[in-house]
Amino acid sequence: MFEKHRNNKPETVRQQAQQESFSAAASAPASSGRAAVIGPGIHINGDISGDENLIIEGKVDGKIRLDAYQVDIGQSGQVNANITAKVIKIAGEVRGDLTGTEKVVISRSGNVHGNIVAPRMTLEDGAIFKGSIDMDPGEPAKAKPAAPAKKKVEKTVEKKVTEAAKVVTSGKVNENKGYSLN
Amino acid sequence: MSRPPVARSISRTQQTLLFPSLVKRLASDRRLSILEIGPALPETIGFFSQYKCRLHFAAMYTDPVLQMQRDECTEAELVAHFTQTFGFQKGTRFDLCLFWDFLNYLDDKALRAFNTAIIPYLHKTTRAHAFTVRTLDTSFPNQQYGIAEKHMFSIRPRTGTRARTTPHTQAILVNLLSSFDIDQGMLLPDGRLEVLMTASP
Repeated sequence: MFEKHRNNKPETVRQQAQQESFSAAASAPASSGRAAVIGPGIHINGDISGDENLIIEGKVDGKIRLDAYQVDIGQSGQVNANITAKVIKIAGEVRGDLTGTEKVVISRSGNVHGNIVAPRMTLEDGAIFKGSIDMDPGEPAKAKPAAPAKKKVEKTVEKKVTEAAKVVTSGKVNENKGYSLN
Repeated sequence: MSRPPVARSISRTQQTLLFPSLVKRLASDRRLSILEIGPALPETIGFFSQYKCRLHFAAMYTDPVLQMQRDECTEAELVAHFTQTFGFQKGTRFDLCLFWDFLNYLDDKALRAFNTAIIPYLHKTTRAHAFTVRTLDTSFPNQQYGIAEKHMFSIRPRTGTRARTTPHTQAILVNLLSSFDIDQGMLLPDGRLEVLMTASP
């Protein structure tokens, strides 16, 4: 009754994206060491763990655990797995929970359905995400200390806002009470 | 979760006088649970990154239930659908719900079902933000919202096929969405009402 439509990119676009993404991945500088590549024609059904970075352009179903390394899911990558890594970058499709001990990045072509835990999270404009993100700025959320003069101005603004809100406060269902225009 | 045909970009912003009072109450040392009914937007994530929180993106604007003929469904089926679509973890209780104008895309039956489905995820101090209308002839722009700053929402045009809208006045809304009471309302120049609500599950 409520079938969801999957993201179906035109085949030519997808192939082009795969080629571009794959060649970019293959020639990517190994800034943090070597990287294993799962090519666009490969489908892995099972768990993956290891001691080097991983680039996924193909399909993976299972679990991925590379605690101290980086996982890149290219534009043609399709992953149905929970992923734990130091850095996770997603340009393809992922269904699963992501734990990035350093950061998680979803780029504009990324499509993620799952829950994310990471101290830093970047979502580029155009990315699709459904799920939850655990955020922790590292210390209890509190207002930044401001210069006295600035604080005074802010206080005045807040007071005005409060007053304005009081004016327009209405009863639960009474529509006839007056509202002020914004 | 279908991809919009063109890249989204912030086209403008909208000032809000009510939202800061919600934010003020968020300053807490405990982990907050926040429901964003719309899509994940960079500025919203950026805004909440200053809080210790769990931010849930329900992406409900792309839910098939908005496009389908809901006349064919019973209210119980719709409740089951919403519950399944939410996919919230057991024990989740939201401190803040950002409904934006989503409630105006639900007809009476669907809104009652939505209300029933969300009750298990509320507590008695859950607060919410939404847009409703002063009169039923008010039209809703097809746009999506994010939080640029505490006094400012970001507004982006929404792409793709627009779902049918069923605007609700404040009086109708509180009857159908019985799990919330409206605390404050602000009439906007275009006839929409920005409202803050507190849960009464």
